[in-house]
Amino acid sequence: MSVLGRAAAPQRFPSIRLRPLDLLGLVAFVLIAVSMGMALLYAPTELIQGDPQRVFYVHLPMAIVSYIAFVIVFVSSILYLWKRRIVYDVVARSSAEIGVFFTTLVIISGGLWGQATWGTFWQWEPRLTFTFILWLIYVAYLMLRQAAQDKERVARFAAVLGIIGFADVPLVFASVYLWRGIHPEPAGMPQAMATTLFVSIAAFLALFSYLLIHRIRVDRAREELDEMLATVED
Amino acid sequence: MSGITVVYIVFAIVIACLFGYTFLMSQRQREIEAEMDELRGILAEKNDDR
Repeated sequence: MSVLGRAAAPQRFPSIRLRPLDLLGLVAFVLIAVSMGMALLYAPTELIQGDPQRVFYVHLPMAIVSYIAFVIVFVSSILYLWKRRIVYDVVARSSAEIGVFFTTLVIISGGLWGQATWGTFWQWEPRLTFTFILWLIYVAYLMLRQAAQDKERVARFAAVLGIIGFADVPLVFASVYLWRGIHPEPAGMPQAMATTLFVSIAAFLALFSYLLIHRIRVDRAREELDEMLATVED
Repeated sequence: MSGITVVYIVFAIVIACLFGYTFLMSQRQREIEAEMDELRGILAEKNDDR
């Protein structure tokens, strides 16, 4: 075989094998890039707000993803209290962390959007206030999880907080219909805007799935490590 | 701050946070796996001693 032939032989190149989870992450990040590109180049400029309205294409999908995360915390917490299986607790705490992460981004992106359109980063209007309460509840949930006490007891308390705290999610959602504030009620939109929004929601849902599976794996590995540590100490 | 600047800032923050969070999670996983490998070694040594 010639020198060139040997160099080009497949074994000369390190193979890059993507696991399904890595592939999901890659697809999610590509979709996020595509949706941001569409928000900047494809979606038409909104007549009243102008360019700052383009923040909407990341703001709303992140809000939807955070609600889904807290629904998962709610359901997993009920299942944990009912079945007492550790896997439900792992899913609940993983989803709560991702929910807090996205809610933080929702608050920041909304604040910057508000600064550009309403002239203020923050107002104590119903939806913002309930969103802030939601954020506080789940930050408290995560702080509770850090308590280095009896693990099962902490998981039980956290599950109760995860269930009670969820009551705020419907309030955030319904607040624009129940009380007057600066957040507008949802309205129809042109096809190009709807398409961009659809791609963006799909992108953030894919990313959420990736982050949740990844986070659950990390948590399960931590559980396994703790068990091994206990074995070594014995 | 012009309208489009706000959009760029928000998108940059979102991308940075998403990459940062993913990176931190991967790092956490690598650390746990390294610690587990170390423990497996200790456990194997313990078993050999017995």
